Amino acid sequence: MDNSITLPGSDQAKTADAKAWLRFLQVFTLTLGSGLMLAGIIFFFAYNWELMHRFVKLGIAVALILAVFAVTMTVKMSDFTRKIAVSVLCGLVGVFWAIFGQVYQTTADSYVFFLTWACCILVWVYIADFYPLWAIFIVLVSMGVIPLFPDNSWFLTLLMLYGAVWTAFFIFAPKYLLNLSAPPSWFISNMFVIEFGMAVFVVCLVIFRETDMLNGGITALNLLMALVVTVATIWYSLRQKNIWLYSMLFVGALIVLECVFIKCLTHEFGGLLLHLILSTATTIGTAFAIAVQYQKWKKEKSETSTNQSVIDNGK
Amino acid sequence: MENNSHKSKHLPWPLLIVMGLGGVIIVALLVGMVAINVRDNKIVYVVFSVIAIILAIAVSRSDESEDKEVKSLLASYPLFIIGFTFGYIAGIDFLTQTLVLQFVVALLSFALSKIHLCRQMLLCYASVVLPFIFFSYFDHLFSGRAMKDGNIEMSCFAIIVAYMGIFAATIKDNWFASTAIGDYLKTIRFATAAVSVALLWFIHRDNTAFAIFFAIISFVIACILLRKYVTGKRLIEGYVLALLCCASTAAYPAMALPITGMLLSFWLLDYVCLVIFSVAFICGISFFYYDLQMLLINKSYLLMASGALFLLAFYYIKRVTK
Repeated sequence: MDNSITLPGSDQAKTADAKAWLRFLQVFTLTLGSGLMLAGIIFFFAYNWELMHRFVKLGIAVALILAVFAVTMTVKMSDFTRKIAVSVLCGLVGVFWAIFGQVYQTTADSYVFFLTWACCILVWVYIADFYPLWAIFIVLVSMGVIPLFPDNSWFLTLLMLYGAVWTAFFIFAPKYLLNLSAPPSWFISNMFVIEFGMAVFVVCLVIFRETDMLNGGITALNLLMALVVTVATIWYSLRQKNIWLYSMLFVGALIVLECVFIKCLTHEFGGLLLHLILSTATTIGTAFAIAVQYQKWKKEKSETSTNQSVIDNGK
Repeated sequence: MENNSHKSKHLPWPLLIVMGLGGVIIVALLVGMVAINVRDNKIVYVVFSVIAIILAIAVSRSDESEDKEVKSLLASYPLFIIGFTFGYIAGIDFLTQTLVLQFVVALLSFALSKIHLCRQMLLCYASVVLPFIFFSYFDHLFSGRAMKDGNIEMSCFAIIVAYMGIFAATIKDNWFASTAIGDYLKTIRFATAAVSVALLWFIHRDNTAFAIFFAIISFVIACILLRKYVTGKRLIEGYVLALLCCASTAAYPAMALPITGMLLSFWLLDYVCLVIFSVAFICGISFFYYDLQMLLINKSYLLMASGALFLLAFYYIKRVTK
């Protein structure tokens, strides 16, 4: 195929050229072809699954793990591709344990399955140092550990403590552990958002559930944990100048205030009017606070980058 | 008409989330307050609706600097929602006429407003309201019979064709450069793509006329592109390949439309719409294989054979382009 240039004087701005179309066709046919082929293979095994001997079933899973492991260790590939390959490897371990549970009818509780899976892949997750894989690992461990928490008033406190431990680990551990790079900002931000979300949920629950007030000590502990989490989130968002996290603080405050208004104000005209005035004032105040802070941080960042480029040019 | 809208380039999306959430709460409270006092007095709803929309347009036309955009958005966005909500409540007994009015008002508000984000939301709203006009006309807005009605299917067909036509027309962006919608082509493409894909749900899976129509459109697009970039013997091979690919999508409407959309989206390098149509295509191809009346083992052979064909096509393209 000829290489083509966008037509001179063309009225079609920003359209794909010949190279882009070639790339599109290659990606499209490769993705569709491999996807259909994989689906066909899976359906083939699914149809014949009951007829297969248990050693064959387990053998297929083990063979896949060994094949992907061999490819990861021997084939030259970019760092990112290798991390994706290790992620696939970790997924296949889960497949193996699922087949094992089905073949031997272990009737294990689901949290045992997730914990086993997580334990088996811990070393690979650590070595890969790939934060999307760490996120999946945390989910697996959580699905294994959280069902073990006692289902009483301590549940929420333990849940917040559990989240805080993970967050603290990823903030402080990279300074002391080898091969653990500093986590990207999206990772820590999302951990803080989830933790802060739990804190907001706890506060809203305390507002609405009067029965909890009978367990004064535990309620106080829950609120104290929520306060600690909130303070930590404020500290981190201001330190990192993270507008997303900063905004989520205000979203949480908005939700808590709405819960207070719904609980305390009547549902008649006067109550609704007061609620409307307070909500409007809160929303306007929140929006302005975020906008002002965003402009301030944006200005600071642009000044920092300007100074840096002046220094670099000077060198 | 000049495009002197203030662009919301500097508003971070967390701020938009906060404003969105706060706006919804304010609207809900106001609607509740009015409903308590007014109850069935539709005239009051009409008056409030008109006042809210006029105020919203007035606020969004205020000649402020970009720094004051947050203020204008905070006021105009809830006012627009209040206006349209009260309009619905007032006209709930004459739904088709109300929806037509809402559509006209949305377009008018778009023309008169100056805040970029507001205009984007109004465009999206207008594109979503249009199919609902047909649904309510055939009395299927709140019933589950919509999917069995031939009139609905024809209406959806017509809307999809119209929207895809608008989508394709945005290739010639110089046509729109001096108009009010010149800065909103991406929004138009997103809205038309999303609505077209959603309306696919109401096209019956055995509607081969629809599938053939869009397969022909895809083939025409492929031919235009091949003539632009390929010459000689390869052109004929290209035509044959394109014909085979497009003919294969003619079996199923849920595959034919997304392929057309993917070609147009990639032509315009609009990756958001490309993702929308790609997801629709994957769903379409999944439904196609699911609906096939054959044993699972035969389906697996068919899937492997289809996969092998596409992989062959991949290797062929790689070979001829070396």
